[in-house]
Amino acid sequence: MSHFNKTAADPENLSQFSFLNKSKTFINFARQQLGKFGLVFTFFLLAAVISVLSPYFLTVDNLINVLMQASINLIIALGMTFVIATGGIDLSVGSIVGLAGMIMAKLLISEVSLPLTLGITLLCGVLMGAVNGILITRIGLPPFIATLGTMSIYRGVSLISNQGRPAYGLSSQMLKAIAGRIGPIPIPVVIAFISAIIAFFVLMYTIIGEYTLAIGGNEEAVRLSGVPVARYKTIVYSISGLMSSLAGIVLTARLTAAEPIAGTGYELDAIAAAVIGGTSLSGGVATIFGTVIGALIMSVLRNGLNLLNIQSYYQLVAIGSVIVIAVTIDTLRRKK
Amino acid sequence: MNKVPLIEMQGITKNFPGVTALDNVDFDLKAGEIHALVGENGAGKSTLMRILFGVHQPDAGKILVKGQEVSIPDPSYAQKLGISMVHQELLLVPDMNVAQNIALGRETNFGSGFLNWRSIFKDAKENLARVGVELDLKTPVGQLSVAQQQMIEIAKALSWNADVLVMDEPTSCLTPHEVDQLFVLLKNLAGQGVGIIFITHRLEEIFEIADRVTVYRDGCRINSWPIKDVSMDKIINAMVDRKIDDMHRKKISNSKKEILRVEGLCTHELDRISFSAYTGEILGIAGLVGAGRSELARAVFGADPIKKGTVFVNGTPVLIKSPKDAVLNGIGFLPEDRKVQGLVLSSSMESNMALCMYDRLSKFTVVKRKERRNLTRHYIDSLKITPPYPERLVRFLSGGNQQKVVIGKWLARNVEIIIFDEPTRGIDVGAKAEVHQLMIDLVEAGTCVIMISSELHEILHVSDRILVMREGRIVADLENQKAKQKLIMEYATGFKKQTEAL
Repeated sequence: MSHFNKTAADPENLSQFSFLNKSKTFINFARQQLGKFGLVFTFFLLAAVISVLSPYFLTVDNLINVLMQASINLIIALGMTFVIATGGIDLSVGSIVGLAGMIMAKLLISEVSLPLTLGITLLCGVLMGAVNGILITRIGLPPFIATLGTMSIYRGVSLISNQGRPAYGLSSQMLKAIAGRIGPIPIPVVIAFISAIIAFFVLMYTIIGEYTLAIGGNEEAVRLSGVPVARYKTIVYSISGLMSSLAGIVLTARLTAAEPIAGTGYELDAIAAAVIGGTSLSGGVATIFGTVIGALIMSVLRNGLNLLNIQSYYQLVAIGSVIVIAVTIDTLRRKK
Repeated sequence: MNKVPLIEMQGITKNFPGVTALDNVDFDLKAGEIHALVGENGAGKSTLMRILFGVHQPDAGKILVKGQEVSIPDPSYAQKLGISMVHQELLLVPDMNVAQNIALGRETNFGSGFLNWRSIFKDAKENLARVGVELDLKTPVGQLSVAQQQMIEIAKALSWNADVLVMDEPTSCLTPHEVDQLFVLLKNLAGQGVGIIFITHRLEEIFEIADRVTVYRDGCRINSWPIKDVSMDKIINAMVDRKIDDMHRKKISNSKKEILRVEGLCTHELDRISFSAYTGEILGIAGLVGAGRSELARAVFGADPIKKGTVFVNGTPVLIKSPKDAVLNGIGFLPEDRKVQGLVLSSSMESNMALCMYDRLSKFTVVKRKERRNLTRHYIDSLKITPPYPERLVRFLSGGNQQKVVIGKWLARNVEIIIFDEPTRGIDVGAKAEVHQLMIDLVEAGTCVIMISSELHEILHVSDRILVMREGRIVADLENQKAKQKLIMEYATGFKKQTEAL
């Protein structure tokens, strides 16, 4: 493969380091495993506590309900995981959910066929994400500012599109393909599950995933390796837009109506799911498995607090605490 | 004047992993004296000053301030002892105004809780008067010139009642006129009894300003003279190590073919750079810090924008607007700071090595993981990277092995031209020899290697031809056989002026 098979150096010089590296790496390996395990452990501990307090928790109906509640957040969080893994943030996801829903409803009301409607809606999502990416990479805006701006813009367009009124009158029969059930399993859950598998594949097995993590780890090093960083960051924000518009479709299908304010605040849930799942806000570290567990932890927590008849006000406190604790553990682990 | 020296440092030793930065070094500074420190990059002068300023702790030796033995745990303690440092990169807050910057860190002197603005402005005015400048106190310092900012830094240093002032290359960004003004000020301060330590690469300045000069080399103090007892020639002789002048590499008589030509390259920092590089040749680029060597590499590689000039690869002009263009034209680049620019520390060896390779290692964006693994294994073997695990995170490798990962990345790409910027900085001696051998193997296989190094022995030991840079220009183009450390240093410091041909 290359002209480069012999170096005249003495391997003795390096052997002293290999020992050091081995022990260090073992500790690191153990810590990583503990980190992953810790997340799953937290999830089951939470589930166990709730199931003791409320016997209804472990019924099939309720568990399906938990998955259902997790599905939309998970779909958005998958895209968010990519964005955060590059070291960025996408605050516009909730607004894209709302605007995608309006686009979908408008098209269906104008009797555009369902497949074409879905195609156009998803494409619009990709475009909205791409706009974020271009603002960030070509104009050089910080991701927080760029997506804060588009968060407001997309929401505004969504409200303007129907003078702030919801778009009613979608055929529930037609939307069964999205919001119905396969046997006992709701289709949104299936969509979220398949999305997670695809996201896992993209993150672990494609150059998009490779570059995503590498850019988050050290953008300058990636650029100096000849990688068109701007293009790949734009792709990552487009993925986030795509996932948000998919969430918008699922949400609209479930409600058989589109609310222009739908999705408000979803960005915080998506960020929370990714971060609880171990995605590093400084970039470079992310797993899809972590994000899935993160979304499930949030859903179980909400469901549990509902079952225990705890006011929703307290739920905010609980979820906020989980985020703070999860990131604290992550930070402490990193510091060592 | 007091007989006790302001500062005495005795037997200072400091080890960093892999290198002894300072070996049993003495230093002293008297009140009212301007003491110049000179030496090649990495000679130990900065480390010594960082120890004095409390940034590093010495492994051995003691520090006496005005005859009292002290230990200096941090910079704020150094300031309490009256030691202030003006860094090469000015450390002012650009959006805050002149008075605020001078008061920075001493706000508690101006009232507890609420700040007494009147006394802050009065204090700023007094301190500026000491350095002899008048500035609008309400101007944000970001709007001022570098020279003015430097004056503010000095005023700020004096505001701590400093009687020791360390100036790290204060003239590197100043115009000649500003340098004159600075020198008047420093002499004035010395007249008031302030001891000044003056680090510089511009040797001619020493004769203008210093009372005494001390030369460091390889972490040792070589010699120290009163300025009237020394000549430029003597200083340069002390800076370079005579013994290793003979260590030239045997010239390999490969068929030389011009592969890279740069004509009239100008950037923000570079001025009309022209040179050629050949296959089968190691082209060394020497020069002092700030001479524009890394900037040249970055410009050729498309990492920094080019204002003017043309780059030819294999005789054809090419447009290099980004590192991607450079890679596609067969140019590879090992950046100066591997941790900041060369590696993704949070990723595996395998991911790092494949970073510039995915156009070949993927199909429909899906990574060919098996090929990638084989490729990584191949270079782990041939470069003897330990531990030999492709999935090992780069963060956990030693410096030498990390550098090999960056090298492996470009070997995998099989580039024709490869620019090494300080390839052996911060790696141990064994790994250093390996990297040198690697570069030699590469040129023997017909690659063109360009090596930037601050170590003169490395330059002489490895390169076939040597370009010397100074202040953004190439000032000499020397065949290795004719080059001597002293000659290079003479060009690099501006003692010997640019050759006519250039």
